[in-house]
Amino acid sequence: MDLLAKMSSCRRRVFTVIFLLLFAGLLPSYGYAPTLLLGLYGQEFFSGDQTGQAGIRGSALLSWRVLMGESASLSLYGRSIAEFSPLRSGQFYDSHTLALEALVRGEGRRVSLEGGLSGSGYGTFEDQAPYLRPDWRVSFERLGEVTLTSVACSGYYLYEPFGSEDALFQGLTAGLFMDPSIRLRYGMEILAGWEYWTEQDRHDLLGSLNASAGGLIGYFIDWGIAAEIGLRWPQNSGERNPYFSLHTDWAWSPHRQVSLELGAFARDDLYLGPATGVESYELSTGFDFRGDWTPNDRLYLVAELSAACRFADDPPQERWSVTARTGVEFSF
Amino acid sequence: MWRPSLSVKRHFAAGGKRFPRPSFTSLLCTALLVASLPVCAQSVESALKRSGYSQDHKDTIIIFFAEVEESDIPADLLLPKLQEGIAKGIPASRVLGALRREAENLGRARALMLRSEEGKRLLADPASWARTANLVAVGASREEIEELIALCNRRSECFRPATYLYVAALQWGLASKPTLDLIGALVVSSIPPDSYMGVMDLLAGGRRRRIPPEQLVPRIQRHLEHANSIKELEQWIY
Repeated sequence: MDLLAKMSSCRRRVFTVIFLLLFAGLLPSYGYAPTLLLGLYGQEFFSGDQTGQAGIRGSALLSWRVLMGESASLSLYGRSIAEFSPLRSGQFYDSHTLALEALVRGEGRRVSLEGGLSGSGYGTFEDQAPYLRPDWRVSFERLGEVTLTSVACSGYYLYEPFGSEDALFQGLTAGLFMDPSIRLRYGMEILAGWEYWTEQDRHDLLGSLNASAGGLIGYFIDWGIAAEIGLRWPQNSGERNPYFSLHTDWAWSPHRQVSLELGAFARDDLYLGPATGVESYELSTGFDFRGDWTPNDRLYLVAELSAACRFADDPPQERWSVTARTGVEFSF
Repeated sequence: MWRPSLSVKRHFAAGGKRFPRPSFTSLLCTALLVASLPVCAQSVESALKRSGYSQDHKDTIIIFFAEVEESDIPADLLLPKLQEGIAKGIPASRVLGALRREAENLGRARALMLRSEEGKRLLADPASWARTANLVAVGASREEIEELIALCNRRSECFRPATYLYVAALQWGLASKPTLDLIGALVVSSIPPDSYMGVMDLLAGGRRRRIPPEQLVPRIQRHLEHANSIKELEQWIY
């Protein structure tokens, strides 16, 4: 009897979510003022295997959230970046992202449906070949007094028209996050996934464990640190790729006119043969800095600096790069 | 065991038979003051024992604390500043100057709090009184302080976190009016008072997304009614 009651309650919830999503237009809705941002930057790129490359970058961003009643919302996020390097054989690069999210909340629960499409027609400045990548995610979160438990199913399909690395990924994530105070939060997330490389008929199993912590220092500094340990396990070859990564982010806004962000990362990949132990390794590390200043919340002067380097036992895999960028952004 | 001071030794060495009057008077005053004052004065005395201050300075500080108590300002509110000054090795004259300014701010804060019933209730809590004195010290106007007191009328436990948020938001560049509106909405919400400072993180996060604070504050106010935590708010306002 209890089971029947639970099933009907669960079914009611599912119907409520579907109803809210299908008939969203009929609910009283309220849209926030959309954020529309245009940016123009000049940049210089240095790398170990190329000479310095000057270029220009243009970007456009649209972000908009519409509330439906008091317990549901739809949000749209779109971003396009175009880069032109006249000294790098006059090459043009682009990347685009479009994401939609539907959020429904109930008493101590939250469901979100996300779908997105990202891609590049000419390849990206970071040497990614042209691609198209639809992605999706469904998550359910349960909110406690200081805890948040979440379960999510996510996936993507990567299509590269000129490459041979098309892949379908599907994963399941479970997380537990604690928020004992505004000064300290921490959590743990476990992922199990499967990736199918369609053109190579290769199946990989993936697993990872991520532990994170963060919080506020004083009123103006937000920090976060995350460590991850994971394993990629190709089923055909018997090779394995364990990895460890560490990532930290700091954001400081001492005044509404100024924002400074600093991120740093390190990742160690090991490639293990079927029986021979470690065959090769790669260690990547780097940092990103972004600072901006605005006199009026409309015009932003931006400066960015990022550097990354990769060490490997295979010399051709070793590389480094530094990118410096400065520009203006205008928010409408 | 009582040990004669240098001046006393000098007096006897010079053949003097009477106890040196200034030192005797000073010691007597100190003893009388300490004996007549409550436990806090003994804390002052024990704090001063750890200092390298001269006896004259120690006497001046003890007399200052006696005067403060006479004017109904709890010496407990000033003792941490004395202890901090001693621990940092700050000269006595500077510590005394800071103590006098602090006492003056406490007096002004009390006068201001006595103007309303809500203020009188908050005055009973020494921490809220000290916090109001801090607001006076950072230059908050009478109107601003009275507004903050009125906003926390029904939830006095919100007063201190609200005033910390108020000072931080103004320092960050937000105007007084939207900040007070925001605090008014926070006080009646389910957000725990010790999380109020998280609002600064929301404002900074909005800024990174190029949402001006003046647009973000009404969004936060709108969702406060339904949110139990800052984390929950974060999902709805950007």
